[in-house]
Amino acid sequence: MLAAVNSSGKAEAEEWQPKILAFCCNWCSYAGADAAGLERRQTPPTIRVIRVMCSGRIDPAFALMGFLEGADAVLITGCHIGDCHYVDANYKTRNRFEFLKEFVDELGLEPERLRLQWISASEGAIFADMVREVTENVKKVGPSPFRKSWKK
Amino acid sequence: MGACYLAWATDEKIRDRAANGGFVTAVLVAALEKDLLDAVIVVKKEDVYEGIPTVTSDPETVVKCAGSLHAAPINLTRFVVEFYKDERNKGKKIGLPAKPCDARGIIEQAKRQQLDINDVYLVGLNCGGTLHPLGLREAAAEIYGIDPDAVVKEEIKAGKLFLSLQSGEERECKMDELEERGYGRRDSCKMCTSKIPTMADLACGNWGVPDGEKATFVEVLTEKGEALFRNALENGYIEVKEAPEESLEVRERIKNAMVKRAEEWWQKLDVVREFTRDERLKFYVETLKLCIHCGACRIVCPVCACGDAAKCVSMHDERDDYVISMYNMIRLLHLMDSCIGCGQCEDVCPVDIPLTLIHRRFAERMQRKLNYTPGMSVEEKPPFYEAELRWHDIL
Amino acid sequence: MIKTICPGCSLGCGLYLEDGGERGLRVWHRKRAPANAGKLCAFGMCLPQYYGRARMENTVDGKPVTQDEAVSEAAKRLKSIKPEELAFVSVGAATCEELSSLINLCKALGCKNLELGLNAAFKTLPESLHEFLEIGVPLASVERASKLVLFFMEPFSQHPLLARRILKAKKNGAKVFEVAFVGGERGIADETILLDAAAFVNAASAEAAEELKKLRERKDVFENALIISEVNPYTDAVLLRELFAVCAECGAMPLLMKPFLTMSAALLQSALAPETKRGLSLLEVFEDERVKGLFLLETDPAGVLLLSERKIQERLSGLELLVEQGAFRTVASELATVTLASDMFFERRGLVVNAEGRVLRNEGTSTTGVEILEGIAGDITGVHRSFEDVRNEALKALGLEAVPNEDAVPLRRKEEKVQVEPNELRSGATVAETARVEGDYLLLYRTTPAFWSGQFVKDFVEISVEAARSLKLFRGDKVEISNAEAVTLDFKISEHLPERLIVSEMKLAGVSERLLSPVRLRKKE
Repeated sequence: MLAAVNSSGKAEAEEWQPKILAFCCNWCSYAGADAAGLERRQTPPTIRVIRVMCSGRIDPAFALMGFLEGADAVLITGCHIGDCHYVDANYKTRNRFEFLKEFVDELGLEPERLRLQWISASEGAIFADMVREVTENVKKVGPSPFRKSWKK
Repeated sequence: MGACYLAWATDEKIRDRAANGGFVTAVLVAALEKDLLDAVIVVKKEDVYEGIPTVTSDPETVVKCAGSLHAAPINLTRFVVEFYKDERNKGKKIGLPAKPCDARGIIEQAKRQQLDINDVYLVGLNCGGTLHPLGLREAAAEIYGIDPDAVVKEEIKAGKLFLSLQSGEERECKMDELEERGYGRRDSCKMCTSKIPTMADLACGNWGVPDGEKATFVEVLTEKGEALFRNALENGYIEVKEAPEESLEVRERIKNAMVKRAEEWWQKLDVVREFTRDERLKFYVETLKLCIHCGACRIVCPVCACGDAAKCVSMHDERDDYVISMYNMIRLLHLMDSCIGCGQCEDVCPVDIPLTLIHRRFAERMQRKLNYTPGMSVEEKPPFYEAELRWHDIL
Repeated sequence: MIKTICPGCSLGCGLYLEDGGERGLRVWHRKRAPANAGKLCAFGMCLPQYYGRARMENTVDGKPVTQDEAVSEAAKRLKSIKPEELAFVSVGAATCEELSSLINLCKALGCKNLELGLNAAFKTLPESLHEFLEIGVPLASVERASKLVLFFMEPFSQHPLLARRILKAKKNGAKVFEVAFVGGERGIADETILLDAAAFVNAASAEAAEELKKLRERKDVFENALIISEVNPYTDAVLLRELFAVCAECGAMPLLMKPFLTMSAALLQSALAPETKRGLSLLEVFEDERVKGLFLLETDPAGVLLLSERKIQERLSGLELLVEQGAFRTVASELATVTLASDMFFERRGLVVNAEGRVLRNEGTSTTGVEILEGIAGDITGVHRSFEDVRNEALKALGLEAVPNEDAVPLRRKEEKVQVEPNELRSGATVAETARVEGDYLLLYRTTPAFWSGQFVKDFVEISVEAARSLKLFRGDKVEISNAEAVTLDFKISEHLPERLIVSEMKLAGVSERLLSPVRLRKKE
């Protein structure tokens, strides 16, 4: 368990649920998330979704702000390469993610906390699996060291 | 490899005043007098510890500014950018003596449309590093045992720092020794591997100049450099001879030795290298916690060009009580592709955050991964610049 | 590029200012400057805005005149006021030469009311301790101290260029303590002695005396330490005397920082007009109805006073004569009988002394400020002095033969230790019980250069986590702070704040006229 850097960063004694911030693009991955719901795939209640029109809209600074606000993990999702609703904007997502990945690693956050996942509208299973997997992994590494102890 | 020469000024006054035969001064004077350039940016020496950048069209002023100034760690990039912000200076051709960090900063600004590289003639200078003026004063007192105000001249030759007094007396100390004892060059200079300004129009210095000769080793790198060189030569401002093979070898050897030393220093100064992931995080949080958000690091950074539209400012809110502020997070992220390690940020930080080390930690791994070196050529767009998507194929 | 000095505080940071014409002023770092190694705090970086304010013009009764006309009118009117009803005030960015000239003018009129920012402090301490208000210690000795105590001083907000010296001291093995109502959030202090702010609403109360006992129990903290604090026109007399009492008891030394470059002022006042130190203080000048004529030099009343602009204007309107000299218009300028326009601080030729005792040169060329003051004095005494004469008088008053170079720190204290009977400083009537505190929160001003100059860098208040919770505040909400008047503001949650404490680096005029006062805090619906 990673001890957080601020004053009282240990997870509560009871079952602690990670807060996972997920950016989903309006066309593919949001639909995929929707599909996961419609197909009644069980996922832990850890995800908070922010819908954007395209994964290319995601400024890597959003992910940083997500961490600073206390997200235990940040997921960036979008259409598969070649399937972007706006033709090729998700190439930018991929480029930026390379920077984000190096950044987050250098900063000292665990790699489990950041993920890029292409999800198509029909891939509800992938979405659900991703949520489960990330939740499990993040539970292992603990609450984000960027969490403020007094923020719920 | 461009054509290499040994060159010197024909004007005795320039030759005597300058550090190595006065080529740089002569070339700039020639360019002004023959209307190749509208103005020149030089550093006016106040004394051994202070130099102030000046724009001038007066050749006399250029001559007066001849000679090196190792303890004035200025980066001229911002000065050049501010020059062109003045509407009246649009299209003016200027020249300046440029250390590799000056040249690289200017090239990065050209990439960001802050200036037209075709207007800026970079007379590159070999650089072993600069010193902080107050550090030099302290070294003069503590190590050399002399009154810092009595120092009239400083020179770096063969790895030694020479301080001369009014009386003519000269004292010396090995740069390595100074640095072992906490003096010497700025940390950013210790780690810098940009020794020969191959990104400039001309590369000038004393490495490779045979002992005793008052000459500058010159490599002509570009058409603009050729134009400056020809102008000075054909109008009798300089005399040249082809650089002998040995000179090239010596220059290469010195460069390689300095680069090796720089890599050793990076290993030594990079305290984060040995940390675990947790320790690394703690280090960044604790050092950046000192930040008072004065904005100085952004103002002096030679590769920053966002101006008022900068996200590091607009996405940062003083009211947020983040563990690391958005200002710092975004700066660290956005400079990953372009930080040149010039050290200006660290020089100006009012709370002494080791910013150069921190920015280089983030930048070095990204630049290595992408095999990209910022500041080398205006044609190479920064990887974060997304009109070019090609680099993701490298990964 | 002009080599100049930031007028924000007594550190005297050196910098270059470049006039970019239409693009305004630009700051460049002067790494050679010994006090700050070229580094600047947020205020220094914002000097272009500070210097961008509306400029003063020469006027008489509101009508534009020439400088000569304004000068002779000022002389005429000053002569017409009885000296005991006249007061001279300068708390701002004035050079040593200007202050020397002002003191000369004050004396020429036979006036004994001269306030340069420290009279309240001078009056509260015995003469033998005045030197410690006038000269500090070299910053190099801060780095070499083995023990540092921050006494109601948060260096990162208030004097960042001092913070880096303290950080160096820590690297050299120093232990750092802080005595405060709220601990600093950057963890510079190894230990915090927290005093309850509520007890100090009236610092002369029995509760406050109880709290101060906590300091006396910790001789280990103060023994031979260097104690760093700030003195300003609102510094509480009880706390100031306690500071010196502790110094005397524990062999500690004080380093007292000031707003603006008023270090010069203190020294010159002591040398040239020591009797005025017991005269009216800044607040007294503004409250004493007997003052009928006021001369303000480089002083923005709305900057240095915690009174609302309305109250200031009311007070100034009641004067028979108001003469204002400065570079920028202030709240007083509309009401002034005579306004005299000087050039901006960075444009002036002049010397200043910083908190270390270092004499710094401002390398502008304008001597207008001195010319004006000498012009007025000349009309009164018949003696006209040149700038050089005035500079020589100032140098002599400082005990110097010639202008020293910036690397020297020539002005040192004569006394090594604070020699005074501690209990003399602590005797003073203590109020048996505190007055009812009419608010449920306490507003504490954290004074910074931005605070004193009226240029706000942080336009929000800091509140505790508990306060935010109990008011059910969410991001985007605003709070209302009220006392006599109410003001609506943004807020920031600072987790280290005690529950009932609110900290503001912004003057909330009308709400609080003291550094610490009770207020009400509500969510603004």
